[in-house]
Amino acid sequence: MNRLFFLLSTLNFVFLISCSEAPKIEFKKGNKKVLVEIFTQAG
Amino acid sequence: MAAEQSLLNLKEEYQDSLSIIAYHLGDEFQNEICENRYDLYQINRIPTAVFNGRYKVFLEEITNIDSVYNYYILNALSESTYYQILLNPLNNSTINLKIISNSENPTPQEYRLFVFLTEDSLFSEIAPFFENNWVLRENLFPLEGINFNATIFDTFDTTFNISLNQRNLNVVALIQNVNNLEIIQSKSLKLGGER
Repeated sequence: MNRLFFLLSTLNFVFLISCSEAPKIEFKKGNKKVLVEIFTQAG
Repeated sequence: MAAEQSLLNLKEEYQDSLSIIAYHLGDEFQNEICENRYDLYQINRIPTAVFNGRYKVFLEEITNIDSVYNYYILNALSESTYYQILLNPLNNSTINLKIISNSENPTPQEYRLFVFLTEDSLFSEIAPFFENNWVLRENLFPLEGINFNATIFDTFDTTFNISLNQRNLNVVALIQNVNNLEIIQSKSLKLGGER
């Protein structure tokens, strides 16, 4: 009985810890496209 | 010219991920936009390629131009950005430009937005048998660009008073950091005609 109580308490503790973490807001970065600028003369 | 053929191949390979602008100097396609960008990057000889505003390469001295292009393009593609540019044709003469920022204010910088019109399949009097592509023709926003407020969602609409069926035009939009000249994001849209 004591073991069962201990196990349930531990699981509850783990659950509380996992729920207490504030959600992180991460801004998404996307792929950059490439711009090639050529300075040239015809021919 | 090897550089031109190389760019055509690269455009075929990278498609939407690659935009190209050709600023002409010393022929009839030279205009004040070309001169302005030439001064901005402090170019002192042509032909020179600038990749995402940061890497200048003088093309005359290069023997394996494909390798050089690929090196810089793959480097640039590995970078990421908070900004996305969308260009959508609404009808034959109106293009919707939308910029999406995925961050509230990631790196407070002075950004400017430029929108250019380029043209393909042009032939010059000085080299009449040579086809010129991506030739810069007009600026759709002021020459110096417009201040871009990167912290909010913005939408722009622009109307073109030209016949798209007769010309092979591309719209190129780019966001540039005015301090270090880095191109933060770019996007091009081919408007009319088939190459």
